[in-house]
Amino acid sequence: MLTRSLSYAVVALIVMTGGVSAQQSADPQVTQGEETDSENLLERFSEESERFTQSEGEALYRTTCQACHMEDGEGSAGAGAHPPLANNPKMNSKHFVAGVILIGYHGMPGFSGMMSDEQVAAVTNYVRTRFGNDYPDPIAPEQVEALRPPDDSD
Amino acid sequence: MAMTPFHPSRRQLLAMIGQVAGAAAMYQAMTSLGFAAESGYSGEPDLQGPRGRRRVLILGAGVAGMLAAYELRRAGYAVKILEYQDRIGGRCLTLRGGDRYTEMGGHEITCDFEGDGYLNPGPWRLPVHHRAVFDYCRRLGVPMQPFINKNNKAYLHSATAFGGQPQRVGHVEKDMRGHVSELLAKSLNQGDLDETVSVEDREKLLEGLKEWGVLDSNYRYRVSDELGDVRGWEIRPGGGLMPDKKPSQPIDLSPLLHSGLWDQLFNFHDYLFEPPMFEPVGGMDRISDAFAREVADVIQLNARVIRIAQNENSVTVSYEDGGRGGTVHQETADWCICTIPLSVLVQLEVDCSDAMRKAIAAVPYASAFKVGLEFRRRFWEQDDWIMGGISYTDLPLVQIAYPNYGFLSDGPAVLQAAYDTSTAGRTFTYSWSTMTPQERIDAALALGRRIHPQYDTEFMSGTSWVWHRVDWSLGCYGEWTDDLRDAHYKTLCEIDHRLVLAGEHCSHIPAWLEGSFLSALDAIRRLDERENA
Amino acid sequence: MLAGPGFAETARDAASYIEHGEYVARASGCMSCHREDLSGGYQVETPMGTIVATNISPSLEYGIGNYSRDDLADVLRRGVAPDRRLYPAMPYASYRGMTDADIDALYLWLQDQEPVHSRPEEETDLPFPFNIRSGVLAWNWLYLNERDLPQHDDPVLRRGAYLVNHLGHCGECHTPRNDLFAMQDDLYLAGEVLDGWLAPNLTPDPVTGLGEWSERDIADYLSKGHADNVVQAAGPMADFVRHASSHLEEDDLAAIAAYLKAIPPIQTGLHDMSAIPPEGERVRPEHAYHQIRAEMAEAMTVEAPTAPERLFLEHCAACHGVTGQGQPQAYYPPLQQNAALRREETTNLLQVLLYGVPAGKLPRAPAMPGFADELNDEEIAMLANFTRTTYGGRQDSDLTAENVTRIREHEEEMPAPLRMLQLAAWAGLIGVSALIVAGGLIYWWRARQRGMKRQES
Repeated sequence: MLTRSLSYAVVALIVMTGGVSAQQSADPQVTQGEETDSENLLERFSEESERFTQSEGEALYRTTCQACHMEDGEGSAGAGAHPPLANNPKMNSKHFVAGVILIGYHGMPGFSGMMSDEQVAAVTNYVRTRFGNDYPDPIAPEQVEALRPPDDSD
Repeated sequence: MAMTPFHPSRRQLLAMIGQVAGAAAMYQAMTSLGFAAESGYSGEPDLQGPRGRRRVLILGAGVAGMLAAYELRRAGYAVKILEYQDRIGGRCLTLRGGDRYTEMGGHEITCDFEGDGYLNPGPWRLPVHHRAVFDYCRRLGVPMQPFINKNNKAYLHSATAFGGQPQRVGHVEKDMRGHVSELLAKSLNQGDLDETVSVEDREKLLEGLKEWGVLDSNYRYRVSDELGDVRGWEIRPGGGLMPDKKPSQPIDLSPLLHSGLWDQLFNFHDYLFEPPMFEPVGGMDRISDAFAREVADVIQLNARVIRIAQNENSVTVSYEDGGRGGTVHQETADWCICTIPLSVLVQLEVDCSDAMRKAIAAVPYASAFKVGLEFRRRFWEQDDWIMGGISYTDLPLVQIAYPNYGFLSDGPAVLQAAYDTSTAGRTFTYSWSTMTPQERIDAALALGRRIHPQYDTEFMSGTSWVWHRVDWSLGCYGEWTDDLRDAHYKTLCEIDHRLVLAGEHCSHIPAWLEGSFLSALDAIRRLDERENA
Repeated sequence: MLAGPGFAETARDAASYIEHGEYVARASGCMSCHREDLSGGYQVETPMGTIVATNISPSLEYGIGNYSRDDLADVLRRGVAPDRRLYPAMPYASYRGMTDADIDALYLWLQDQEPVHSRPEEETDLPFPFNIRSGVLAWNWLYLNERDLPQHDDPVLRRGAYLVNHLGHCGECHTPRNDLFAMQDDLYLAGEVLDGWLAPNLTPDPVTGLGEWSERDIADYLSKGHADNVVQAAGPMADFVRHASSHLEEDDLAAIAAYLKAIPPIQTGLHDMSAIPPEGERVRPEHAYHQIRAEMAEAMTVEAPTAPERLFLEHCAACHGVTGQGQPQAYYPPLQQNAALRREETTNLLQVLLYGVPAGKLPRAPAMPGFADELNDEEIAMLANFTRTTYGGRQDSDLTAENVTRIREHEEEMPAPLRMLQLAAWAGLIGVSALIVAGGLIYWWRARQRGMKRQES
C-alpha cells in the first residue's frame, strides 16, 4: 500500500503548489492560510483506503468516532441519539468500550476490520481519558485481541 | 520440502464415488439447494380489504410508509401516518438553492445554489429492472429522464498513475480489451489452449478476437486507423482542408495494470448499474412528492414516536408532539406498519418478541455522505467533453458525477463532487462524516481540482450531506451481511402480533428505493392476509 | 466401475455426497478439535497428559491423504490408524456407531478439502507407559463394548439417539469416567468435570440436568449458543457450538432435543434449585435504551458502597446492568436467573470470570473479557458470591479465594489407579532391566565357572 501513501504525499504537494497558483489567480478569496487548512484537513483521511493508518488515539477519534460522538464527546440527540462519551458511566468498562469499537452496538458499525488491536486500544484509552473522563486503567492490545470477533478460518 | 498436494481430479473423485456408489440414492434425497424463487414486483397488490372498519397506523412518511398508506386506503383500510420530521419523503430527498438543514452536532448545512442544479443526498439513480419504482412512477405521473451512469468520456483517475492525469473510461476499457485479446490470440496460436479449444473453435475465436480487440493481421494490438474508429483519434477527421486524421495511441498493458484504473472500471459492471438507468426529471423527491399528493391528508408531521405497545387485538403508539420532549399523545389502531429505521427504532420501547428485538438491534447502519458543488459554467462539458456520467478516482472523494440534465446550457451547474458508502469497505466515508459542512466543501475542492483544475476559478458554492449526522436515520441504510441475514432477516420481516416492519432494511435490496417499495408491498399483502385469515 | 450412471449424473452425486460429508463432519464435531482447516492443534487435557488433535487434512505427509475409505472407518470405529493406535481422546468409542453411508460421505468430503502441509505446533506427549500406544489395546479390550442403550421405534428419537450417542459424541464429555478414563455406562450423560469445566448432566433431571429446559431451549442453545437469555455456552461447549452444532439443521436439532428429553433422568445433585428456571417462572428481563447509563449514574452516588458493589459497578455493570438485566437485544446476557449463577457447582462461573468467553458464532455478539489479570482471587470470589446471591437467586454463596485459586492453578490430576499403573510399569521396567542385568551376570559367572572348570579338567 506504499503507492497509496505516496499518492497522498503527491496530493499534498500538489495542493500546496496549487495554492500558490490559486493565489496568483483572479480569485481573491483563496489565501495561503486556507490552503494550509485544507492540507490539515486532508490529513484526516487514512493513507490506505481499506484500513485506518493513524496510530494515535486522538487522530483516530477525529477521523471516525467524532462523526457521531462529536468534537466534544457529547453525542447528539433528536429522533434518535448518538450517546455521549462524556459523563457516561458505561465508560467504566474498558472492555465494553473496546468491544463496541470492534463489533459495533445497535446501529453503530464495528471497526474490527479497519483497525488493529493497537489502534482500538489507542482510541479506547483516548476516549476514557478525555471529555472529562479520567479512568486510570488503560486497555492493552492483547486485551483487545481477546475481544475480537472470531475469524471464520479459526 | 516440495509436496504434491492431494487434490482429487474429477477422475479420482469419480473413482472414489465408485468406491461408495451404493448409497447414492440416499444422498440425492438428502440434498436440496433450497434457493428461494427470485422475488420481484408482480404488479399492484391484490388486497382483499378489511373485514370491518380497520385502522392501520403507519410510522414514517418515507416512500415505504406512503406506499403502504396509499395501497391500504385504496383497499378500504383507514390509515394514518405519524412522521417525526416537518417534511415528508424520508431519505428520498433533494437539496436545492435556499434549503437549510441543521444536522446533529448543531452545524447548519446551507444550500445556496443559484441555478436549477440540485443534490440528491439519498437515492439518485434507478436501474431499469427496479420495476416497482417504475410502475408507481408511471401510475403517479412522475416523468423520467435517462441517467447516464457510464460515460466513455468520463475519467478514471489515480493520483499515482500517468502523472496524475485522468484517463478516459473508453480508452481504459478498449485498451484492456485489446491487450487481453492479443494475449489470448497469442496463446491460441502457440497451441497453449489446444486441450481446451478445438481446432474449429480456435479459428472462430481468433477471427472474433481480431474484431473485438481490434488486432492487426499479426494479432497485435497496435495503433491503426481501424483502432482510431474504435478508440478515437488524436486528430479527429475534419472537414475541408483540416489536418489529416490521426488515430489515438493506446496505453501499454503494464502501466495500465499497475494504475488501478482497470479496477475502477468494475464500478460499472454490476447488474444494478447496467445501462440505461433513469432518474425523475427535476430531482429524486419528485417521487416522494407524488406519493404525498395521494396521502398528504393522513400524515401528521412533527410526531416523535417513543413507544409501540401492543396486545393480541390492537396497537397503541405513544408519540411526542413537536419532537423530543413534546407533549405525549397516543394513537390506537388495529395494525401498525413501522418504517422507522432500525438504528432509531432500537432506541424506542417496542412490545415484540425477544427474537425480533434482537433482529432490530442486529443491523448496523452504513456510513455514507455526499458533497455537491455549484460552478459558474459547465467546464466538464465545455472543456472536457464529458456530458453526464461518473468519473472515478482513488482520491478520498471517490467519484464525481456530472448532471444528466441541462446539457450545454450557460450559467451555473452542480456536480455531485464526492460520494462514498461504507459498503465498499473504504475508510473515507467515516472521515468525511467527521467534518463540518464547510470542511467537507473545502476537502472536496482541494481533492477535486486534481481532476478538474477549473475548480479553482469556477467554484460558486457547495452543500453536503452526512447520513450519520441525521437524527431520524442515524446512518444511511441497513448494512446486512450474509451471517446477519441468516440469523435475523426472517424474524425482522415477520408480523409480530399486530406489528410489521417495512422499509429498505426489510428487503434484499438495501439502500435502494425498490427495496423499500417491495418491502412495503409484501408487508401490506401479509397484513391483509392475516386480517382475512 | 462407472458403467451405470452418466458423467453428469455421477458428478451431481459427487456434489451431493461431498455436501453430505461436510454435514457429517459438522455433526461429528470434527472441526471442534481438528480446526476449520483440519490442520489439528486442539489440546485435550486428560489425566494421562495432553493429547493434541492431529492434522486430518488430505496432506499425504502430514494428514490423512493416503487413507483409504476403510482406513478412515477403522480410525472412526476402532481407533486404529494405518500407522498407529489412537488414544480414546478421539471419540471412537462413540463414533463406532456411525453408519457406513455417513463414513462414505465423510471420506469423500475430507479428501476434497485443501491439504494443509504442516504438523500442529504442539504434539501429543504422554509420559511412560502411556506413550506406548499398544497399551490402548488393553483399554479397548476392557472398555470398547457395545453400550446397552434403549432402542427407539420413533424415527425422530432414533435420529436424535444417533446424533447424541454417535456423531455428536456428547457422552465423551458429559459422562463421568472411571479411574482408567473409561465412561461409566450406568452414569451415561449424567455430567462430569473435565478439562477444568463442568459438562453438565444432559439427562432430564430437574436440578442438574435438562429437566426444566424446553426442547426449544435445547435446540436454540445448540444452534446459537444461548437459550432464552438464561443460559449461554462457554468454554469447550462454546467451541462445539461454533464449529459443530450451530451448523445442524432444524430437524436434527429438534431430534436431539426430543431424545435428550426422552431418556431416563439420572439424579446427581442434592436437592437444590434447578439450574435454569422453569419456563413459566422466567422473568425475561429487557434493556431499555439509556437504562444502564442512568442506573449506573444513580448507583455511583451511593455514599459507601460495599466492596462487591463497587467491583460490580466498575467491572460488570456496563454490560450486565445494575439490576442484572443485561442488554439481551445485543447479546450481553442478563444475570437475573442466569444458569451460571444458579448452579450449585461453580466451576464454570469461576472459569468465565477468570478467563472470559470468546465472541462466538453469532454475528456481532460480544466476547466476555476474563479478569484473571485485573482482579485477585479474593475479588473474583467476592464477585461470584455477590452475583450468585443478588441475581442468581441463591440463598448464600461462600466461595473463597482458595476456590478461585484452585481453578486458576487447575491441573488434571492423575487418578490413583492410573498412577499405580504408571508406577507398576516403571517397577516392571526396572524389574525387567534388573532381571536382564542379573541374568547376564549369572550367565557370565557361570560361563566363567565352566571355563575355569574346563581349564581345571
